[in-house]
Amino acid sequence: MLAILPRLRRFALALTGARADADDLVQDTVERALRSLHQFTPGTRMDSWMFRIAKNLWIDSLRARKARGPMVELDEAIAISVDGERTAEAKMMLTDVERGLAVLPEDQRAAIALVLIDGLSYREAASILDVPIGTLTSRLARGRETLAALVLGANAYAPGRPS
Amino acid sequence: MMVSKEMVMAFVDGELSSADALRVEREIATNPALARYVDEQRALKRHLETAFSPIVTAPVPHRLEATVMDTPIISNETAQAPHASVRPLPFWRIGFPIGALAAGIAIGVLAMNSMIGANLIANRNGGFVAAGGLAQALSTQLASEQASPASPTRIGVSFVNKGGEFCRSFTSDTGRNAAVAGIACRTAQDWRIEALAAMPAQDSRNFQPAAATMPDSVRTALNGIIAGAALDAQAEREARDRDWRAR
Repeated sequence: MLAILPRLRRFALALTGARADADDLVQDTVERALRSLHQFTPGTRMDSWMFRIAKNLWIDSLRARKARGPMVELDEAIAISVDGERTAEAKMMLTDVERGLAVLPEDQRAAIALVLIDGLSYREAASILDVPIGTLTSRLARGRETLAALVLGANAYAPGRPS
Repeated sequence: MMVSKEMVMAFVDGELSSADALRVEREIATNPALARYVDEQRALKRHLETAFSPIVTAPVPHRLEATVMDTPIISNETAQAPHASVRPLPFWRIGFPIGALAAGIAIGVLAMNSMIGANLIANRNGGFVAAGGLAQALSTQLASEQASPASPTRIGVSFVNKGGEFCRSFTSDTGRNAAVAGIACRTAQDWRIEALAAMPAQDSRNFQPAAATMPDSVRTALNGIIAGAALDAQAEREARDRDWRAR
């Protein structure tokens, strides 16, 4: 499990977009995983199992945040005013890529994180996200297109049309 | 041949069969627009990998590693506790053997299997019981006369819990330079694992006395279930000779 932590942190960072949030998510994931260890099927991949837990916790936290509604914005406004300097610094450290990821819809971001960043196979990634492979690939395709435009300034590719 | 975006994506992600990949490569050679698109997609992937590589190589924050080491892994209120009507067990805590985790770096899931599996503990009816050498040591070994240095298990203290069962604390060398400490209580059939926690990696040939090195979670569990004082050598021997049948 220790060996999985670096990759889990990377996955969490890709999802949350901030190191502190990422490590909180990893922490929650590890605690949940250890408490549910009896549900882990021996012989299956522990990394995938933990990634799935992380993904579910992240989705839950997003839902909770949405449910709380405007409260969050207020919280954040206070947090920023109190800790404005550090927040600004953290934002400056965001790379183009991280900014690009942040604008993606959550499901596309998770797909990109698993396949492009972690290098998992479509099959593994689809299983972690609990979606059919076709859904995964379409999320990947859409996410990629947005990212390519934002990060590389790339133009759309029209298949089959000679340039 | 027309190469779809989906196919390019699968190509870049290494998801195409070698025959299909070859077809795409051939097409790339004759289609500059496609070649450019493939380059872009590869560049995007590299960008993503690069942007997220620092966190993978950075040291994992201590608190995360500590969480892995210290979190109790099972909270099993449903596990059958004999005499629960008299007084339910305060907790059913199983900490995580550090050894299996540390070894997980090398052998991954196998370490889990060996820990939960047949080596030292086994899963039974939703709880864990001692197995193999641990079960044998718990049944036969006296704290006052430890077994041969070859035995991986040391008995700490023997005591009676509030349910009247005999319980024993132990440390077991799980191999791979790691050890587990725990408490097991004797049921009609088994030694039910009552607590289990990692011990810091140490020279496995040089065990400290079990009680002296008991992890906090095990010590807390012991203090929570013990009735009276630990058995002395004579009481322990008598209990063993009666096969640890509850009084």
